Amino acid sequence: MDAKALLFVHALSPLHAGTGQGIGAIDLPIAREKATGIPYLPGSSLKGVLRDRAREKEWDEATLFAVFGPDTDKASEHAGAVQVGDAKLLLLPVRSLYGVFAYALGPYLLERFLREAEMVGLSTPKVPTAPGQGEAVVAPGSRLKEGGKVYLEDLDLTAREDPLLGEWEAWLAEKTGAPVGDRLVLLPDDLMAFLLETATEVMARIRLDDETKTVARGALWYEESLPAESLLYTLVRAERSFRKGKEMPAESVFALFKGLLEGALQLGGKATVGRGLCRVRIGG
Amino acid sequence: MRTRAQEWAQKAYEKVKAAAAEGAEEYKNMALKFPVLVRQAGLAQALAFLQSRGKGAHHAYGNDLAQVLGRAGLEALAEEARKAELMAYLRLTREVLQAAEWFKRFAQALMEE
Repeated sequence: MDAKALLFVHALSPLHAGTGQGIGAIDLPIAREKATGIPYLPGSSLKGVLRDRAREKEWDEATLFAVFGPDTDKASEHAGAVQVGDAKLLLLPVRSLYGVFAYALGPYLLERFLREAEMVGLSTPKVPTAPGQGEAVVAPGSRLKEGGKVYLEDLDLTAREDPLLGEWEAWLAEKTGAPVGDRLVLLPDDLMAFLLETATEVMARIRLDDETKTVARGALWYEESLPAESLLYTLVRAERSFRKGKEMPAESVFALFKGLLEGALQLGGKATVGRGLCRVRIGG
Repeated sequence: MRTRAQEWAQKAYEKVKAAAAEGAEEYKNMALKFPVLVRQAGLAQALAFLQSRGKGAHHAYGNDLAQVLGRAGLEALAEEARKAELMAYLRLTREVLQAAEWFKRFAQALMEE
């Protein structure tokens, strides 16, 4: 018997789930799945933050270890009862000429999401017909559309209306609390892959020389983040507690875990410069 | 059979080595900056920026980059970027980024501070 749910992670500020070192154009790139290039936030990152929060809330040790597993030096004693998956990107905020920004989604990202939504028994709207080349599917009357076109970044796409997009907007807005209404756009997979690669936020950062108050030599680097408003999701499972003397059924473990999700969380790196402020919601 | 990356790496290495012999500081600066410029402004815009910088080291960098990708020079590449259909534009952007990353790497390695 286990308890499962999908968590939605809504980035309130740019989210930097880094890989530590890049050798490409960007010095500090974000973590991406190797084959698909989809950005993700490692489950360990989310789990660690929640474990830390449990300590702040002064859980007793036995409960903390039962839910999250023992400290590293005693790791072999028993497993934790909670399993936190990697949070994968669902909606990417993209610059739009109308509506301030658009929430871009591709058929493949949606397929990935539906797989996990099905696992937790969420009932979702139907899947819209995939867009053709150079096409963008929007909800009827969407504010992204002007004169039959949708303008994203520097791409002009032919708009097609589909009521199912409206249903998804309503469903996602209700489940996640993110401003999805009137903003959702379904793009061809190839185009989505391109945006995932190039539409993330890249910031130049410098270190000043104390003596001169100008940039220190060689102290310029580029950091990549998922833009603010990005929306990710992850699967969380709770099992019964494996800790001797602290038996709990899966439901109790999950109830404890849920209690940690109140308020904003700081996820990923660069927290001291304001990255990674996120809101987490349980989507059923 | 060699990988695309190997091809570009070898050609970029030769170009940067030749430019380093002339000790072009401007060339290096552009090589470091250009990949991010493409990501932030888009390919056509970034190439137009190179063209706007006169005939100096920045232009030379643009020519080298275009030639590594098998184009005649910066003008030809910029024109192709302006005229390309969407999917071709996306692919060209990817190729330019990948080649530009080799330029950045070798500029850091071969050019003096």
